[in-house]
Amino acid sequence: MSAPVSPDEAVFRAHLAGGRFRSGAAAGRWRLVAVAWPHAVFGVRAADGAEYGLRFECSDYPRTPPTAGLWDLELNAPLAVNKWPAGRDRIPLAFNPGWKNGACLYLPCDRISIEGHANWYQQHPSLVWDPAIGIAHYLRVVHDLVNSSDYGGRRAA
Amino acid sequence: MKSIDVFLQGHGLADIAVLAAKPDDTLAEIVSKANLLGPKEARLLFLEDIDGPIDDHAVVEELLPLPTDGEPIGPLRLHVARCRHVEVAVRFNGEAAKRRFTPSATVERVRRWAVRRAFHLPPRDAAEHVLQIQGTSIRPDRDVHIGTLTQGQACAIAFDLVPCQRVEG
Repeated sequence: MSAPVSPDEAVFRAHLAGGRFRSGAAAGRWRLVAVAWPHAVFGVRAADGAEYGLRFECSDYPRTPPTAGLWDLELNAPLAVNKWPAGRDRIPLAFNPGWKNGACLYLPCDRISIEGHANWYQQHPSLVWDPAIGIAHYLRVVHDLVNSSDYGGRRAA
Repeated sequence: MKSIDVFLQGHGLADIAVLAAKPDDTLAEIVSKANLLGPKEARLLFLEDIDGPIDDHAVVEELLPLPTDGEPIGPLRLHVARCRHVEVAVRFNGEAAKRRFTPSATVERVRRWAVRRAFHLPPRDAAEHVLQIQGTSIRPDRDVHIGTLTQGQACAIAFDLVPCQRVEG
Protein backbone atom coordinates (compact mmCIF):
# COMPACT_ATOMS: atom_id res chain seq x y z
CA MET A 1 0.00 0.00 0.00
CA SER A 2 1.41 3.38 -0.96
CA ALA A 3 1.97 6.07 1.66
CA PRO A 4 -0.78 8.69 1.93
CA VAL A 5 -0.07 11.91 0.04
CA SER A 6 0.26 15.00 2.21
CA PRO A 7 -2.13 17.92 1.55
CA ASP A 8 0.64 20.10 0.12
CA GLU A 9 1.79 17.39 -2.27
CA ALA A 10 -1.82 16.75 -3.30
CA VAL A 11 -2.26 20.39 -4.32
CA PHE A 12 1.10 20.31 -6.11
CA ARG A 13 0.09 17.24 -8.12
CA ALA A 14 -3.28 18.81 -8.91
CA HIS A 15 -1.45 21.82 -10.33
CA LEU A 16 0.69 19.49 -12.46
CA ALA A 17 -2.50 18.01 -13.86
CA GLY A 18 -3.95 21.47 -14.53
CA GLY A 19 -4.14 23.30 -17.81
CA ARG A 20 -1.56 25.99 -17.16
CA PHE A 21 1.21 23.50 -16.46
CA ARG A 22 0.21 21.03 -19.16
CA SER A 23 -0.26 23.69 -21.83
CA GLY A 24 3.30 24.92 -21.24
CA ALA A 25 4.61 21.36 -21.18
CA ALA A 26 2.83 20.52 -24.45
CA ALA A 27 4.39 23.60 -26.03
CA GLY A 28 7.85 22.40 -24.95
CA ARG A 29 8.39 25.30 -22.54
CA TRP A 30 8.99 23.06 -19.54
CA ARG A 31 8.74 19.47 -18.35
CA LEU A 32 8.54 17.59 -15.09
CA VAL A 33 11.63 15.47 -14.46
CA ALA A 34 10.98 13.97 -11.04
CA VAL A 35 9.14 14.44 -7.76
CA ALA A 36 10.53 13.25 -4.41
CA TRP A 37 8.38 15.27 -2.04
CA PRO A 38 8.96 17.98 -0.92
CA HIS A 39 11.40 18.32 -3.82
CA ALA A 40 10.57 18.46 -7.52
CA VAL A 41 12.85 18.81 -10.52
CA PHE A 42 11.82 20.47 -13.79
CA GLY A 43 13.51 21.31 -17.06
CA VAL A 44 12.91 24.72 -18.68
CA ARG A 45 13.67 25.26 -22.37
CA ALA A 46 15.68 28.36 -23.38
CA ALA A 47 15.68 30.28 -26.65
CA ASP A 48 18.77 28.46 -27.92
CA GLY A 49 17.31 25.03 -27.16
CA ALA A 50 19.33 24.54 -23.96
CA GLU A 51 17.42 22.99 -21.09
CA TYR A 52 17.96 24.35 -17.57
CA GLY A 53 17.12 22.13 -14.65
CA LEU A 54 15.46 23.61 -11.58
CA ARG A 55 15.18 21.81 -8.27
CA PHE A 56 12.33 23.11 -6.11
CA GLU A 57 11.73 22.74 -2.40
CA CYS A 58 7.96 22.91 -2.02
CA SER A 59 7.11 22.45 1.67
CA ASP A 60 3.70 23.87 2.60
CA TYR A 61 2.80 24.30 -1.09
CA PRO A 62 1.11 26.45 -2.31
CA ARG A 63 0.49 28.62 0.76
CA THR A 64 4.25 29.10 1.13
CA PRO A 65 6.15 29.89 -2.07
CA PRO A 66 8.69 27.31 -3.22
CA THR A 67 12.38 28.04 -3.57
CA ALA A 68 14.45 26.78 -6.48
CA GLY A 69 18.04 26.53 -7.62
CA LEU A 70 19.62 25.58 -10.92
CA TRP A 71 20.12 21.84 -11.20
CA ASP A 72 22.26 19.62 -13.42
CA LEU A 73 19.83 17.09 -14.87
CA GLU A 74 22.61 14.71 -15.95
CA LEU A 75 24.61 14.74 -12.72
CA ASN A 76 21.57 15.16 -10.43
CA ALA A 77 23.46 17.85 -8.54
CA PRO A 78 23.58 21.66 -8.35
CA LEU A 79 24.52 23.12 -11.74
CA ALA A 80 28.14 24.25 -12.11
CA VAL A 81 28.33 28.03 -12.38
CA ASN A 82 29.97 27.92 -15.83
CA LYS A 83 26.77 26.28 -17.13
CA TRP A 84 24.45 28.99 -15.74
CA PRO A 85 22.55 31.30 -18.12
CA ALA A 86 24.48 34.37 -19.25
CA GLY A 87 23.16 37.83 -20.04
CA ARG A 88 23.84 41.52 -19.62
CA ASP A 89 20.96 42.92 -17.61
CA ARG A 90 18.09 40.92 -16.08
CA ILE A 91 19.68 37.47 -16.44
CA PRO A 92 22.78 37.98 -14.25
CA LEU A 93 20.60 39.53 -11.55
CA ALA A 94 18.17 36.61 -11.45
CA PHE A 95 20.84 33.89 -11.86
CA ASN A 96 23.41 35.18 -9.43
CA PRO A 97 25.77 32.59 -7.88
CA GLY A 98 26.72 35.15 -5.23
CA TRP A 99 23.15 35.33 -3.91
CA LYS A 100 22.65 32.79 -1.09
CA ASN A 101 25.60 30.84 -2.52
CA GLY A 102 23.58 30.14 -5.64
CA ALA A 103 20.98 28.14 -3.71
CA CYS A 104 18.02 30.08 -5.11
CA LEU A 105 17.06 32.44 -7.90
CA TYR A 106 16.88 36.16 -7.19
CA LEU A 107 13.23 36.48 -8.13
CA PRO A 108 10.10 37.75 -6.34
CA CYS A 109 8.39 34.35 -6.80
CA ASP A 110 11.08 32.62 -4.73
CA ARG A 111 10.42 31.96 -1.04
CA ILE A 112 13.92 32.83 0.15
CA SER A 113 14.55 35.77 -2.15
CA ILE A 114 11.28 37.56 -1.36
CA GLU A 115 12.29 37.71 2.33
CA GLY A 116 13.47 41.21 3.15
CA HIS A 117 12.20 42.56 -0.18
CA ALA A 118 8.80 43.97 0.77
CA ASN A 119 9.29 46.58 -1.98
CA TRP A 120 8.99 43.83 -4.61
CA TYR A 121 5.27 43.45 -3.86
CA GLN A 122 4.80 46.98 -5.20
CA GLN A 123 7.51 47.01 -7.84
CA HIS A 124 7.01 43.57 -9.36
CA PRO A 125 3.48 42.35 -8.51
CA SER A 126 3.31 40.17 -11.62
CA LEU A 127 6.41 38.27 -10.49
CA VAL A 128 5.31 37.62 -6.91
CA TRP A 129 4.27 34.03 -6.11
CA ASP A 130 0.60 33.36 -6.83
CA PRO A 131 -0.67 30.29 -4.96
CA ALA A 132 -3.71 30.06 -7.23
CA ILE A 133 -1.51 29.54 -10.28
CA GLY A 134 1.20 27.61 -8.48
CA ILE A 135 4.32 26.05 -9.94
CA ALA A 136 3.49 27.08 -13.53
CA HIS A 137 3.93 30.70 -12.46
CA TYR A 138 7.53 30.20 -11.27
CA LEU A 139 8.32 28.14 -14.38
CA ARG A 140 6.83 30.84 -16.59
CA VAL A 141 8.97 33.55 -14.96
CA VAL A 142 12.12 31.51 -15.59
CA HIS A 143 11.04 30.58 -19.13
CA ASP A 144 10.38 34.24 -19.94
CA LEU A 145 13.88 35.14 -18.75
CA VAL A 146 15.75 32.49 -20.75
CA ASN A 147 13.68 33.38 -23.81
CA SER A 148 14.23 37.14 -23.53
CA SER A 149 16.59 39.19 -25.66
CA ASP A 150 18.84 39.49 -22.59
CA TYR A 151 19.58 35.75 -22.65
CA GLY A 152 23.00 34.98 -24.10
CA GLY A 153 23.36 31.22 -23.79
CA ARG A 154 25.34 29.36 -21.16
CA ARG A 155 28.17 31.21 -19.43
CA ALA A 156 30.95 28.96 -20.74
CA ALA A 157 29.44 28.28 -24.17
CA MET B 1 -7.05 4.12 -29.45
CA LYS B 2 -4.78 6.84 -28.18
CA SER B 3 -6.29 9.69 -26.20
CA ILE B 4 -5.70 13.22 -27.46
CA ASP B 5 -5.36 16.16 -25.08
CA VAL B 6 -7.69 19.04 -25.79
CA PHE B 7 -6.88 22.37 -24.12
CA LEU B 8 -10.03 24.45 -23.89
CA GLN B 9 -10.12 28.11 -22.93
CA GLY B 10 -13.10 30.40 -22.73
CA HIS B 11 -14.67 33.34 -21.00
CA GLY B 12 -15.59 32.26 -17.47
CA LEU B 13 -13.21 29.31 -17.32
CA ALA B 14 -10.74 29.95 -14.51
CA ASP B 15 -7.99 27.79 -15.96
CA ILE B 16 -7.20 26.07 -19.21
CA ALA B 17 -9.45 23.00 -19.14
CA VAL B 18 -7.74 19.75 -20.08
CA LEU B 19 -10.08 17.27 -21.76
CA ALA B 20 -9.36 13.83 -23.14
CA ALA B 21 -10.66 13.06 -26.62
CA LYS B 22 -10.77 10.10 -28.96
CA PRO B 23 -9.59 10.88 -32.49
CA ASP B 24 -13.12 10.50 -33.88
CA ASP B 25 -14.89 12.58 -31.23
CA THR B 26 -16.70 15.67 -32.45
CA LEU B 27 -16.04 19.05 -30.88
CA ALA B 28 -19.59 19.06 -29.53
CA GLU B 29 -18.87 15.84 -27.65
CA ILE B 30 -15.64 17.26 -26.24
CA VAL B 31 -17.06 20.60 -25.17
CA SER B 32 -20.00 18.90 -23.48
CA LYS B 33 -17.50 17.50 -20.96
CA ALA B 34 -16.54 21.00 -19.78
CA ASN B 35 -18.49 22.86 -17.14
CA LEU B 36 -19.53 25.83 -19.25
CA LEU B 37 -21.95 28.52 -18.21
CA GLY B 38 -24.47 30.22 -20.45
CA PRO B 39 -26.76 28.99 -23.21
CA LYS B 40 -25.31 26.35 -25.50
CA GLU B 41 -26.85 28.00 -28.56
CA ALA B 42 -24.81 31.17 -28.01
CA ARG B 43 -21.46 29.37 -27.94
CA LEU B 44 -18.97 29.72 -30.75
CA LEU B 45 -15.96 27.42 -31.11
CA PHE B 46 -12.59 28.55 -32.42
CA LEU B 47 -9.23 26.95 -33.12
CA GLU B 48 -6.35 28.75 -31.45
CA ASP B 49 -5.18 31.78 -33.40
CA ILE B 50 -7.55 31.04 -36.30
CA ASP B 51 -10.15 33.62 -37.30
CA GLY B 52 -13.76 32.50 -37.60
CA PRO B 53 -15.79 29.91 -35.69
CA ILE B 54 -15.78 26.23 -36.64
CA ASP B 55 -18.65 23.77 -36.81
CA ASP B 56 -19.06 21.77 -33.61
CA HIS B 57 -19.58 18.65 -35.73
CA ALA B 58 -15.94 18.83 -36.79
CA VAL B 59 -13.92 15.75 -35.80
CA VAL B 60 -10.87 16.08 -33.55
CA GLU B 61 -8.39 14.15 -35.71
CA GLU B 62 -9.29 16.20 -38.79
CA LEU B 63 -8.31 19.41 -37.03
CA LEU B 64 -4.79 18.18 -36.20
CA PRO B 65 -1.77 17.98 -38.51
CA LEU B 66 -1.73 14.81 -40.63
CA PRO B 67 0.41 12.19 -38.89
CA THR B 68 3.18 10.58 -40.94
CA ASP B 69 1.93 7.28 -39.61
CA GLY B 70 -0.23 6.05 -36.77
CA GLU B 71 -2.39 8.23 -34.60
CA PRO B 72 -2.74 12.02 -34.79
CA ILE B 73 -0.72 13.91 -32.25
CA GLY B 74 -2.27 16.57 -30.04
CA PRO B 75 -2.88 18.71 -28.29
CA LEU B 76 -5.83 20.40 -29.90
CA ARG B 77 -6.20 23.96 -28.64
CA LEU B 78 -9.76 25.31 -28.64
CA HIS B 79 -11.62 28.37 -27.49
CA VAL B 80 -15.30 28.71 -26.66
CA ALA B 81 -16.77 32.21 -26.80
CA ARG B 82 -19.88 34.24 -27.39
CA CYS B 83 -17.90 37.00 -29.13
CA ARG B 84 -16.91 36.56 -32.80
CA HIS B 85 -14.12 39.08 -32.37
CA VAL B 86 -12.40 40.93 -29.56
CA GLU B 87 -11.56 44.60 -30.00
CA VAL B 88 -8.00 45.00 -28.71
CA ALA B 89 -6.56 48.37 -27.73
CA VAL B 90 -2.90 48.81 -26.80
CA ARG B 91 -1.22 51.93 -25.39
CA PHE B 92 2.49 52.58 -25.62
CA ASN B 93 4.52 55.76 -25.12
CA GLY B 94 1.49 58.02 -25.43
CA GLU B 95 0.29 56.32 -28.61
CA ALA B 96 -2.63 53.97 -29.05
CA ALA B 97 -3.38 51.22 -31.53
CA LYS B 98 -6.50 49.14 -32.07
CA ARG B 99 -7.28 45.97 -33.97
CA ARG B 100 -9.85 43.19 -33.96
CA PHE B 101 -8.64 39.70 -33.18
CA THR B 102 -10.27 36.33 -32.96
CA PRO B 103 -11.10 35.52 -29.30
CA SER B 104 -8.77 32.53 -29.66
CA ALA B 105 -5.77 34.75 -30.39
CA THR B 106 -3.05 34.17 -27.83
CA VAL B 107 -1.55 36.98 -25.79
CA GLU B 108 1.72 36.30 -27.60
CA ARG B 109 0.01 36.73 -30.99
CA VAL B 110 -1.34 40.13 -29.89
CA ARG B 111 1.96 41.15 -28.31
CA ARG B 112 3.84 40.42 -31.54
CA TRP B 113 1.38 42.50 -33.54
CA ALA B 114 1.77 45.35 -31.05
CA VAL B 115 5.58 45.43 -30.95
CA ARG B 116 6.17 44.75 -34.65
CA ARG B 117 3.25 46.14 -36.63
CA ALA B 118 1.66 48.73 -34.37
CA PHE B 119 4.63 50.35 -32.64
CA HIS B 120 7.57 49.17 -34.79
CA LEU B 121 9.97 48.36 -31.96
CA PRO B 122 13.46 47.12 -32.88
CA PRO B 123 13.75 43.34 -32.32
CA ARG B 124 15.78 43.62 -29.12
CA ASP B 125 13.34 46.08 -27.56
CA ALA B 126 10.38 44.11 -28.85
CA ALA B 127 11.47 41.05 -26.90
CA GLU B 128 11.68 43.11 -23.70
CA HIS B 129 8.07 44.35 -23.72
CA VAL B 130 4.95 42.52 -22.56
CA LEU B 131 1.22 43.20 -22.39
CA GLN B 132 -0.36 44.31 -19.12
CA ILE B 133 -4.12 44.67 -18.73
CA GLN B 134 -4.91 48.35 -18.31
CA GLY B 135 -5.64 49.41 -14.75
CA THR B 136 -4.13 46.24 -13.29
CA SER B 137 -0.74 44.64 -12.71
CA ILE B 138 -1.83 41.48 -14.57
CA ARG B 139 0.49 40.31 -17.33
CA PRO B 140 -1.21 37.26 -18.81
CA ASP B 141 0.95 34.34 -19.92
CA ARG B 142 1.76 34.01 -23.60
CA ASP B 143 -0.61 31.08 -24.23
CA VAL B 144 -3.70 32.74 -22.72
CA HIS B 145 -6.50 33.45 -25.23
CA ILE B 146 -7.59 37.08 -25.22
CA GLY B 147 -11.24 36.02 -25.20
CA THR B 148 -10.75 34.84 -21.62
CA LEU B 149 -9.72 38.34 -20.54
CA THR B 150 -12.84 40.28 -21.51
CA GLN B 151 -15.07 41.60 -18.74
CA GLY B 152 -18.85 41.20 -18.54
CA GLN B 153 -20.65 41.50 -21.85
CA ALA B 154 -17.92 43.52 -23.57
CA CYS B 155 -16.03 41.93 -26.47
CA ALA B 156 -13.02 44.13 -25.85
CA ILE B 157 -9.79 44.27 -23.89
CA ALA B 158 -7.27 47.08 -23.34
CA PHE B 159 -3.58 46.62 -22.64
CA ASP B 160 -0.52 48.70 -21.93
CA LEU B 161 2.71 47.59 -23.58
CA VAL B 162 5.23 47.73 -20.74
CA PRO B 163 8.95 46.95 -20.42
CA CYS B 164 10.20 43.95 -18.47
CA GLN B 165 11.89 45.41 -15.43
CA ARG B 166 15.12 44.44 -13.71
CA VAL B 167 14.62 42.77 -10.35
CA GLU B 168 17.05 44.35 -7.92
CA GLY B 169 17.28 46.00 -4.54
